[in-house]
Amino acid sequence: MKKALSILIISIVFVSALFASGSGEVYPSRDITDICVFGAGGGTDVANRVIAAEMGNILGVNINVNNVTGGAGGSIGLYQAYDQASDGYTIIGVSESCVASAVMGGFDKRMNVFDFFIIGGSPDIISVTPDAPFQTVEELVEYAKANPNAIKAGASTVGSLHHLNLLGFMNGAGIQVNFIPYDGSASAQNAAMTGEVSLVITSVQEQAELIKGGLLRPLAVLIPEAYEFEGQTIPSAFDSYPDMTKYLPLEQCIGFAIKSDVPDDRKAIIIDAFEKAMASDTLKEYGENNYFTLSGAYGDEARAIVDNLESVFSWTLYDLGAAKFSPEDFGIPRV
Amino acid sequence: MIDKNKLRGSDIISGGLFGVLGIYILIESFQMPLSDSYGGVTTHWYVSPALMPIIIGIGMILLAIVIIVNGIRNGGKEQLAAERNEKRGKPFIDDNKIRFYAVMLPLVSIVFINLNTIDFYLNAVMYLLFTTCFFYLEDIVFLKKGITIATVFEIIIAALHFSGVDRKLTQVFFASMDLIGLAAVIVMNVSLIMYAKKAGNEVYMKKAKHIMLVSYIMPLLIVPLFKFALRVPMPHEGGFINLMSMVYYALR
Amino acid sequence: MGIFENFGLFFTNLFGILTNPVELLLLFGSVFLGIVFGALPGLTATLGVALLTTLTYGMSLSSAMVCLLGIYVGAVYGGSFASIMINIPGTAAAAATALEGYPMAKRGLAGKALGLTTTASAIGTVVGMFFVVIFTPLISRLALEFTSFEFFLLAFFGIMISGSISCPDTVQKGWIAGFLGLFLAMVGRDQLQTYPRFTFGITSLESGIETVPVLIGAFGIPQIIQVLKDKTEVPKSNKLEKVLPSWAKIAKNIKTIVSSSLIGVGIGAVPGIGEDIAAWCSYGAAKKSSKHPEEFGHGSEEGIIASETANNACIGGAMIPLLSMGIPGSPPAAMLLGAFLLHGIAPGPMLEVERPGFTLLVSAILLLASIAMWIVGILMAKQVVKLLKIPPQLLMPVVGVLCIVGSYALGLKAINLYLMVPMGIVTYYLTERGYPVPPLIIGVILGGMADANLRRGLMVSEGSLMPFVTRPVALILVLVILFTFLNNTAVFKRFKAKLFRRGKAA
Repeated sequence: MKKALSILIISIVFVSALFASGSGEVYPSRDITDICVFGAGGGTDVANRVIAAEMGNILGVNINVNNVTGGAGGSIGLYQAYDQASDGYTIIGVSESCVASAVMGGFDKRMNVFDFFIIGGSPDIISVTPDAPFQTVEELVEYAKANPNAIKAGASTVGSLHHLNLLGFMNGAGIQVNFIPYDGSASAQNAAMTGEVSLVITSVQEQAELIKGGLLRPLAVLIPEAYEFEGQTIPSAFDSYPDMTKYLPLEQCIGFAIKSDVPDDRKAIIIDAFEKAMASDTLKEYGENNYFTLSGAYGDEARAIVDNLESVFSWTLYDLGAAKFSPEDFGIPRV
Repeated sequence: MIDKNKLRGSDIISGGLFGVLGIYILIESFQMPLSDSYGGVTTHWYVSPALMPIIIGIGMILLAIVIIVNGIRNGGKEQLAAERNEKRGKPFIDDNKIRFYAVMLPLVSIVFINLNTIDFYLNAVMYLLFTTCFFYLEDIVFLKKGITIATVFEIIIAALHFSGVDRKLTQVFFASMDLIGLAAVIVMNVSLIMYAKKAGNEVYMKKAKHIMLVSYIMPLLIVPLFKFALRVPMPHEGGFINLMSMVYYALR
Repeated sequence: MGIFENFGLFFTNLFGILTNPVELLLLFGSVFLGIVFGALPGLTATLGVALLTTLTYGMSLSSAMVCLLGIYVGAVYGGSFASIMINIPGTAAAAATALEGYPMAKRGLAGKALGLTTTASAIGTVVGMFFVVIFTPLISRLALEFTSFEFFLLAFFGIMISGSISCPDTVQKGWIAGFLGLFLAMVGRDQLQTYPRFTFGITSLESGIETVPVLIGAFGIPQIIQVLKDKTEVPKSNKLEKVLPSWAKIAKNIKTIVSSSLIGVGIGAVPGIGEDIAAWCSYGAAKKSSKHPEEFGHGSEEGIIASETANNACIGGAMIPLLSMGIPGSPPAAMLLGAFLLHGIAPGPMLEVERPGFTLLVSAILLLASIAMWIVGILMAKQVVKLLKIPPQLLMPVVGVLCIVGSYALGLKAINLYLMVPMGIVTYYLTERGYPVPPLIIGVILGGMADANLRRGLMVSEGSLMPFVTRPVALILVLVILFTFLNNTAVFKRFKAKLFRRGKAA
């Protein structure tokens, strides 16, 4: 009986204490949770952990990265984050793959319910195995035009960024290759090493070591400008095939988001910490080591980037027949 | 495991269940795209997402047939008939079934009923207290009494949760569902002590102490370990975990 | 770099850590934490490394590696504690250990079993470390022979072999359990075309069924039901004198230790297959080659030595492709890859040029971690034996709470728990009826790999099945699988018996 009574008393005490402590809080006064919608150790996760540590130092609290994975386009994590209060204590680790969640039957809202903070991304690059007879992207395209579907191209799953880049390249250059999907960039590259495919499209970050080791030969990057890689200049595929601008560039876009209805004064604090963190040496070093083009976009600038990605991803998937819903259902315009 | 010699009868049933699952897998598989283009990849038979499920379905049916045939050949039918005869005339609810229900009730409650509506610390306490009360005392009378208490409270919580009333209650007071859980814990604990006192059994009093120690202290170690040291958010953070957070941030 | 320079660097690293009190403390601390993680059902090496990665962010590279490798080594070893004590493998890698360790504990030999696993794990880790240093280029070249076909066959082989080995009743039950696991792995969007299979329109199922809740459900829940419902007695604790294994035992089993280490390293080096398969394969090989195969399943010392040596040797194996190609060899190694990147280390062919000596740093830490693990293990074993004095009716509910928190912690979603409990009930039903659980788990783990690689292989060969016989590695695997299959079918057995009789008559 005594035990029960004491529990009752304790509970009454804490309940009244909680009521007393509700108001007049300084932001941030407790740890912030970063719900990363992709797995631990992946690009989104690592980038989020780096910036979370840096921003945590600036804000004077911990930012804890939790991985809540699964669903279509990370929808389980998106839902979980969206269900949290808009108090600025929850941020969401996202990448470009999330924008297709709605049409894939995952998250049931457009991405405009979030405000984005873009850390950056690594550009996509076309490479071939060293024994392939192509030295330049032009030779590759000529060969592919003469022998449609003869080249086996590896990239990650249907509807992934790299697959969309491959599609953009095929359309822009007017060629057909045999697309072999892999469950990730690492396995696609591994397949190139074993000779299963002869062409891979992954990001510079993912390929860097293989290029340096001479195990892959870079042909072209899929961004408008040529790319300086460890003293060698990799040309842009756009130079030879201007048509490509219709479909590309489609760049990796890793960062985090907060709910749009977070109070403005708290948003301002996050923006300030984000800007400072992006300017820090840690982030610069991280960018260099990982061949990241650092972006630092937030607010309207980030919104424009995400809107474009959302439209391209959603409509491409819909046109491929891989989407569950039409982008029109969500009011996503075709760019 | 059931005695190996008695397995042949149950093989016929379990093999049959696997066979049904295999048939279901096959039916589902043939509704998947077998040719045509899906997701930008031209689908031949060998690329189809149905390929592996079809292999699994066929394999499962074949193995199920082997298991059933093996069961029938080795006297499974007779065993089944004998078991049926044995059961005849006995009450449907026996001790064995009650004990199984007593294991499952707290487990199903913590996951399917309480998880999203009751503070996880309290939820863990409820699970531990119920389970240990049922089994550690090793007293069939109290087991039945405890099951009644737990079932009544879980029905109340389930009714509130699945009808959506719990959300309205928490709008009024954020930890109102926790109070119901707390009531369940108090009722169970008080009746445990009263039962032990009434029995006048020294062992029972000692066991009651152990039960309370494990039920209240273990979650008090586990929950903060995950919440604060490993920084894993809990499924539902109600009154108790918020209190822990307050203490944690006050001390830090 | 010459061999002597390498040696010098290796010992510089070694003494650097030994003379640094902070790092030494971190080493023992993280190894201890790892053992606790491994021992608690539901907490895996992967989760341990993942959770610790965040905390190491602010540390120096060397300290961070000490922590991460320490918890990895500790957790893979720690799994054996729960296997031996309560017949619930703390990690999937210790599932084979449970088959032998638990019967030993039942006979009152828990301390002896733990002593053996401790030394075997330490030796395994050290052997793994030697391979990291010496055989890195060789093993990675072999691993590069694996294309989609080989990956499919390897996955299929894993399911077959575990079905054949772990079955308490007829072998078909093992295989059908494997098929059930394969089926569970099919749930979700497929890896190649993202077509949703068996999802019943539930979005949470689209990313598939996670291994951890299935594993916890399949190993934890039936155990809880059995102990509580059937009043199953958990073995009484052993006296504490015999915690140290006699070195003679180790010397006697040196053949098993050597072959298990080799199997562990080899399997670790193959991308995507981790400690669990290494333990099973090594256990199977030990059973096949043993002079006393009848002891297996009833507490064979060879059995636990084989499984524990291999799963720890696998750590070194998994590090080889990770360091040389940036491709993780096991799930915890995948987590380590993330940690490397976090600390500005880009593993790959150029690692030795960019970060000379990093491989040696990793091997030095592995050596130290195995020593620390041995010391902590021998000390801890005494404590763990004490755990048995807790009445099971009090211990099992606590395990239940840990199972629930553990399944929730990795994915942070309720669906994991909603899957775990029914999974537990189904497995309880199946184990009661003589169906083994391990093939089911292997099926769930390798199912996605088998599916994607079979279809991708056929895509590359444009539907031709020829690569199964024209590629040498594939052909070997096909033959091994066929042999495993035929070896367990009645027709072949009768044929063999006939041959045998004829031989006798003649």
